[in-house]
Amino acid sequence: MTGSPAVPRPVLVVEDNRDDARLARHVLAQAGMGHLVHLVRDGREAADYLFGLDAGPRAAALRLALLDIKLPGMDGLELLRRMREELATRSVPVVMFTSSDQARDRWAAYRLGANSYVVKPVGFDDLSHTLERVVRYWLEVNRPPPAQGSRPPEAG
Amino acid sequence: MNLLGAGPGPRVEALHIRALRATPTPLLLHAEDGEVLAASHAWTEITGYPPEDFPSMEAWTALAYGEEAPRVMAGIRRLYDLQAPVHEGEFRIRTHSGEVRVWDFHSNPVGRLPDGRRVVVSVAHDVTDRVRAQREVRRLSDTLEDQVQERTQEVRDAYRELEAFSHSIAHDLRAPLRAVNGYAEILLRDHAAWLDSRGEELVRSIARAALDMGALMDDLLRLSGTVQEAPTFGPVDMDATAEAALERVRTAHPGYGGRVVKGPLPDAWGSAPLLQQVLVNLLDNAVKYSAPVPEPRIEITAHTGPRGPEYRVRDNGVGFDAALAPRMFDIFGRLHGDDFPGSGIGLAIVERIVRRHGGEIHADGTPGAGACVTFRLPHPRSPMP
Repeated sequence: MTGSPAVPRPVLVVEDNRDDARLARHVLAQAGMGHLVHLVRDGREAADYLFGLDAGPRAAALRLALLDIKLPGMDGLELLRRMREELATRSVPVVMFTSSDQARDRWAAYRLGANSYVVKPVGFDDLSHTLERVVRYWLEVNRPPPAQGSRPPEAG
Repeated sequence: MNLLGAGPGPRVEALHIRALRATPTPLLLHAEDGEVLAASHAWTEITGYPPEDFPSMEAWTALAYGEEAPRVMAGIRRLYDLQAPVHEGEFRIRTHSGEVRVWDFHSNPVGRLPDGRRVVVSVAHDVTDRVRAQREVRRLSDTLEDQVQERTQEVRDAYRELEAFSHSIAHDLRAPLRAVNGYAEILLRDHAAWLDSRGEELVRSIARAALDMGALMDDLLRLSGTVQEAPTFGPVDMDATAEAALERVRTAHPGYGGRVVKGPLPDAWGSAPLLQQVLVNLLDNAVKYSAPVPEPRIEITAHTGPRGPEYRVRDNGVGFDAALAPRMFDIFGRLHGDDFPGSGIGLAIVERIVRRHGGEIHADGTPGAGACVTFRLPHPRSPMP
């Protein structure tokens, strides 16, 4: 594996809190999805990962993004805006995964095109249950729109 | 030809002149050709003009009214044709010192001089203070509404700031709590082999304490929300509200085996969601404290008192010492220690909501013989047609 150019990971987790990041990684690893997760600490790092010079096909390979809202530098909402501007990530499901349950944040997230808004539970049981279900839903249950460039079905 | 300077003249009795001058209000005697026959001391004192400065009405109006003098003079000329007293109204005069005073004039025809000239006496009331006070009242009432709005906005802003502050604190505190609970749980699940039973118990306590603090923060946020949000008041069907509250409490305590009896409840005036919260918190306590006794029982009753409907939630649970009742409604004012779960905020929320409705609440209890909380709400108003 070493030396191979950045294997695209289909789930991007943007989380600045070290403990929250560690817990999320632990939960998803326990659920057998650890190898799918790429973890970054803020919006800028996420944007570099997706759209930077050496990003290659990462943005196109992305199947889900979990964004915290309050992040240093570029916050989750700003990153969401950027993802909706870029063709490659325009239809990637974005789940806001945050401690904030403020109406203002929920409003802003949905207005900017978030697909889902989940408040992080404090209890670990709830947290792992919620996180696993959310990721499984978007990866295993949800059917994404067809890839860019394919034709919509003809009317009639 | 001024009489005043000339002493007792042939045309007006000296005694009359002295009496006139001594009048404690501004008073002026003048003839139709504009000659000022006499002015009272009050007149000259208030205006600051000595009598010799205004031998004629032209001179007086020029001093007192400046540019307005011709208009005032025209009014004065009409006075000499009067057959009856007239109230001329308020005039703004300028005194010798430059101060503006408001005089309210009455004029009265008093007859003719021997030479045939008609004479008028003009009396003024100095109403400067009253006019100023009126103007001030008008100004205050004009600006009062603005001031109230301004203050209200300030208070609203402060509330909003406070709310944002509590939310940001809650956000910042939840992350470490999640970490404490999460790491403790991972320790228990994945590393239990390295813990003896005592160690496992301790880690469990750590996990539980973090959860408790999370719940406590949620309650505190709810309390501050209760205080801040502006509820919509209207008629409330308390029967339906109590049923909904019972449903919520039953869901939260599925194992509760007690009997719950609900009598008919009169309608209230208030906010249905807030009143439901009141009943949920009271019933939650009743369930919690009656669960350990044999044959637990909860009664919800009401009657309409002279000052409005009174609702009562009574249980036959462990009760409490009535002397401690006043403390029950304080934030964190817990009477039972750790034997019973709870953050100690539930009754504080209840008390605030009842108070916001303009009502009252009190609790009675006896150790071992149950507790009873009664709250009164104001009389329902009739809804606007």
